[in-house]
Amino acid sequence: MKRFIVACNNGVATSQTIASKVQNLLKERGVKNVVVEAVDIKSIDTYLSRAHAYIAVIAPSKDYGIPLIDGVSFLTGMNQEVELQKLIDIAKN
Amino acid sequence: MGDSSMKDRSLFREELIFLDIPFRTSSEVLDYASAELLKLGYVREGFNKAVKLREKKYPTGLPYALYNIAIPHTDPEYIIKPFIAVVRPAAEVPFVQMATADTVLGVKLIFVLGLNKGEDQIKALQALIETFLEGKVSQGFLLAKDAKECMDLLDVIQKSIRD
Repeated sequence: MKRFIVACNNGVATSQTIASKVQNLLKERGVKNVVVEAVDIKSIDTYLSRAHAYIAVIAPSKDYGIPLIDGVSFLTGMNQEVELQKLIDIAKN
Repeated sequence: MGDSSMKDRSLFREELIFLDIPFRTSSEVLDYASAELLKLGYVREGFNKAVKLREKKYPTGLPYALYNIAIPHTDPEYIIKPFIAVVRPAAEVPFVQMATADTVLGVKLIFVLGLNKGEDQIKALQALIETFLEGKVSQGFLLAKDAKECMDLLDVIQKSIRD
């Protein structure tokens, strides 16, 4: 099971929207062994150790040690396919 | 269809659509919207300060093919009644692009989000985003003559949430 996390300030609006969308897109592509979770940026460190990618919607403040994916691409559609493929590749490895 | 209970659950309200007001900055947009939201009983005191602070720290500008939008919001604790307010300024207002430090976008439409954790509300935001992604009704928002016309467009979004 791979875990991808999306974090924003209170994990309510934007990050949940993206998490939901990414989960659906992955399912459509037949990628099932994945959980996409929206978390609060304040507790991100506790989630990072168990996550395989971080989908960012806020400017990253440091290197998180796991692959960084552009979350805004899932809202604007720009570059979405490229970012999605990165997640698919991580899920399949 | 006249299902008034569906309207009650709608996040979009005619009284929260603000068209063609001149604003020079994102702060002016938020000051205006917050004052209306407070007056109409949707938010608590402190909403304005919180939403402006959050916008500064975590900007919400989003670029789309036809035009740019912004989706400012803040913590659920300030929300009394969930909503999505719509502001169409008289001219583009600069907002910083999401996940960037200083990329400025000229924004034509601002959706002030008053969501708490309800599942329906996440679906509403998703439907709104998908609408802009697909370019449906986008042009309509720019051309709508009044709040009622906007509500008809927003109904399209609201309906897609029911699916």
